[in-house]
Amino acid sequence: MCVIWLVVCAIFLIGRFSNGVPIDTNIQSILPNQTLSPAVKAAMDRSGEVASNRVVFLVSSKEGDTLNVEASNALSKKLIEAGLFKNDQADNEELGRWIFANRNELLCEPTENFTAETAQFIRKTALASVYGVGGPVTGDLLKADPFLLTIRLANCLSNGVASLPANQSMLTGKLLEPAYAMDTQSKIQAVVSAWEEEWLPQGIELARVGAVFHAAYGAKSAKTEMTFIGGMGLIGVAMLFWSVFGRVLNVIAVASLIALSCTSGLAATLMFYAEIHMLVLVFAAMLVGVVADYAVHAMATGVGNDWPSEMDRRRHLLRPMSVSMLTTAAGFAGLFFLGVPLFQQLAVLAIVGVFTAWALVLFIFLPLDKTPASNEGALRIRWMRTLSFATNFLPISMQSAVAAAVFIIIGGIGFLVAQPLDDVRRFQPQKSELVEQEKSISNIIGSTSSQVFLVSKGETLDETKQNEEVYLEEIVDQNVFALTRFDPSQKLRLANSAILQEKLFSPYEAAHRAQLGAMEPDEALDVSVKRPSWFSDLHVEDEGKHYLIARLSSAEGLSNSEKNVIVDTASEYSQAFASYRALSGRSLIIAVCVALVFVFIVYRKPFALSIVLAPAAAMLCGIYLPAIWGQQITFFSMAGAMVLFGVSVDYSAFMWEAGRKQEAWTKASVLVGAVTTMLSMGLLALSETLPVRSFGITVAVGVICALIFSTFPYYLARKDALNAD
Amino acid sequence: MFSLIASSIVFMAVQSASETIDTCSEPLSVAQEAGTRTFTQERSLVGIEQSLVSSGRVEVSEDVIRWIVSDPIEISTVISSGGMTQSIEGGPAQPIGAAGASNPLLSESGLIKLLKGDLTNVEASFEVNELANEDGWGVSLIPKANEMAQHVSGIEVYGCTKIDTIKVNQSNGDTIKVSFSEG
Repeated sequence: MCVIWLVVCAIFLIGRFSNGVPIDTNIQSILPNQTLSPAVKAAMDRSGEVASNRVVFLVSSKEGDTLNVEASNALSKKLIEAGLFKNDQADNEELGRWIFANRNELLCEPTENFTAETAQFIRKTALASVYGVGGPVTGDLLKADPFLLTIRLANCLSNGVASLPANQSMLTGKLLEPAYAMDTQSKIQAVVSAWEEEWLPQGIELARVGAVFHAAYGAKSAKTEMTFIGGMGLIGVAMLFWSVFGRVLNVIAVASLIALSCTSGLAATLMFYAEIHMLVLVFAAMLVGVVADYAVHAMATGVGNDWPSEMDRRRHLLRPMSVSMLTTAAGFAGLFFLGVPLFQQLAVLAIVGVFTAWALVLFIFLPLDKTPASNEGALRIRWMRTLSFATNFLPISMQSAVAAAVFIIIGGIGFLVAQPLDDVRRFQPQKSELVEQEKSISNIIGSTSSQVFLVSKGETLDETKQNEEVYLEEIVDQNVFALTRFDPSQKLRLANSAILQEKLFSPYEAAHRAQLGAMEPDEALDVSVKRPSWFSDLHVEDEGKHYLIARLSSAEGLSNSEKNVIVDTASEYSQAFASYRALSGRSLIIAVCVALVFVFIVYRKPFALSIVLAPAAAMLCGIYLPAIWGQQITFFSMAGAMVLFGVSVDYSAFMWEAGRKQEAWTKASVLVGAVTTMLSMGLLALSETLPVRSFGITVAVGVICALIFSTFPYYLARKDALNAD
Repeated sequence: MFSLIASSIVFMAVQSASETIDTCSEPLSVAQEAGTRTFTQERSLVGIEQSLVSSGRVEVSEDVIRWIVSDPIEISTVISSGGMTQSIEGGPAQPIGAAGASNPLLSESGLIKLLKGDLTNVEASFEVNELANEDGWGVSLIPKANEMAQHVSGIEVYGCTKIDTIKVNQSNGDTIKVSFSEG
């Protein structure tokens, strides 16, 4: 039955994955803010994608040297040849033509700020370009645009890029492949490194900005950590199993059980849901701990009980494992009450996964875990050594009570001083060198990595433009990047055109043309113009409504209006994580309550509630005790607590049964299970990445507490048994 | 008598010229020299009949060139390694971009170096050919790099002990001629 189910699951998953990975990796899916319409979310998605694919390089040579131009061209060429990059230069030609064609309807400043002095200044600046040194003026341009408005607009709309000193070149563009794909990251790193080898020895310096570089650093850092932590964990678990059971192959058996349980849980979830969110998989790490525990208990029933028959071993396991499995499952079933798809998906995955692990261990693993043909005695000695250690380590004594009280008191103090942390900007470690480079580029062209957007909406594109213009008029932001700066509404075009005519052309044009000998051409300069392709990145049309997205440098002091919404992406995600942290807390409370009811129904003894209360206390200590040394509480602390609930219910259930039956072997198997969890998940506490570290610390601290607290169900069960006798 | 006077004048002129030519520097060894000179810039743009003439003085120091136009409009342009600023009619100095240092005509053509009066090492970026010049030497500079050639087809430089005239022939047919004199 179990095998058939697993085969069905495997076939189902192959079918589902062959039509594309049904895992929702879009972080926006977790955003709980219902005030944002799907179109605004789509706009955010688009703007986020555009922003994440932007890259900027600042190539500098020594003062007085202009090697930077050649170096910058070489870098651009290499990136383009690698098929990775589209240089903005390609768009600049298009944009230049657009600005030229629209020069008489665009302004650098708000219309009302265009004064007679501005007009005078424009005239003089044009003269300075002609009579000064090396101004980029041609006869055709001068005749068509005698005040050189095109050059003025190009300067002010380029956010200062054009004002770079001669020894610096800015290379800007967009990636043609997704920034968050590891393949893109390694390709761009390879190209840039090859370029650096050639140019850095010649005195060239390079600063770079782009999500791709942070992502590459994050991926590299994660890879190093996973190699180190994962490697250490794997070696640790292998050594543990070898020293306790004398069989390294058991590691493979446990790994297979974990893989099969996850397959089953994932398949069941995908049978109910079209997609599963990646954060569910984070919580699903709980399965690893639970399955490992079940397997360890199963192994211990053999060596710990003089290799009894398969039937006897199953009898040893059936009740505590069933209670543990059903308590965990009942706890997770409580998540349905939250009414949040993410937690409902988790509930399905956890319940089916835990049930599969239970069935696999009892009905597949046990028959396969035969009595060793030889060295039975040696294996027994190893086990006895572990048992002796476990008995000393987990004494049912006053010492344990004192230790538990100390942990609870410290956890209580931690609860009082604990601070939450939901700011996603602090989740990922950033390379200081990249942060410095970003600052140097931001000093020139303003913030390049701002995730604050103004989303304006309207019934028509022109109305939407007007809404954006009205909002932007009211704010002071030097680094606004908005469509209406390049392509204003008809209303603003008319106003700009009128003010240029009134203040500049009427008073000065005739004299200015005469001075330069630049008479109006008989025919207008033939310049083919098309709308720059990137304009569409700032415009979304959905269900007949139009949305414009403008990038702002900060959301400070800005508020929403009827037609305009400020979207601070990082804040949105931070709020989402805060909301989910709270929901996770509630789900843990629900899980504990449901488990309490379930355990009471099963045992009908108040003391048996310790099977749930001990893990609940361990969860609280895992979350709050680390606050003593300043560890902040995150959503991932809650995920760690969920893992703790799964594994520590298991410890308590086994210890309860052990106390009831006066068995000794359980203590050793609980200890081995706990060390396995510590090695597989607790070591994540060493990570540099805050969510991973947060998860690992909660598990590490919580597992120690769960071990100590699990002596109470043992003590109470023994007392209950003695009273009954 | 007039012919005698005339011949003596011619003789003196030739003698003077000969002496000058003898004392001219090798063109490619003419280096930047601090000091002030006056200049006249004549800009001819295709499609504009009249030449756009400006004049003023240029002050060259070790790190900075001040290009000061006094006629027909007061413009003070300061070119340094830190960038380029411009002040118009006594107004505040403002950084200039596409119209200045980032303009390939200046940043990629080597024109800034020539305006400083420096011809040393010019062969690194240009193919150098001699040009006839009765009053000294003349060299034609043809850009080697394609990027530069897009903007400048060639530069003619004339001088003797210093650079006296620079004529930039732009690829679109426009020319900029700058003549320097002492004073």
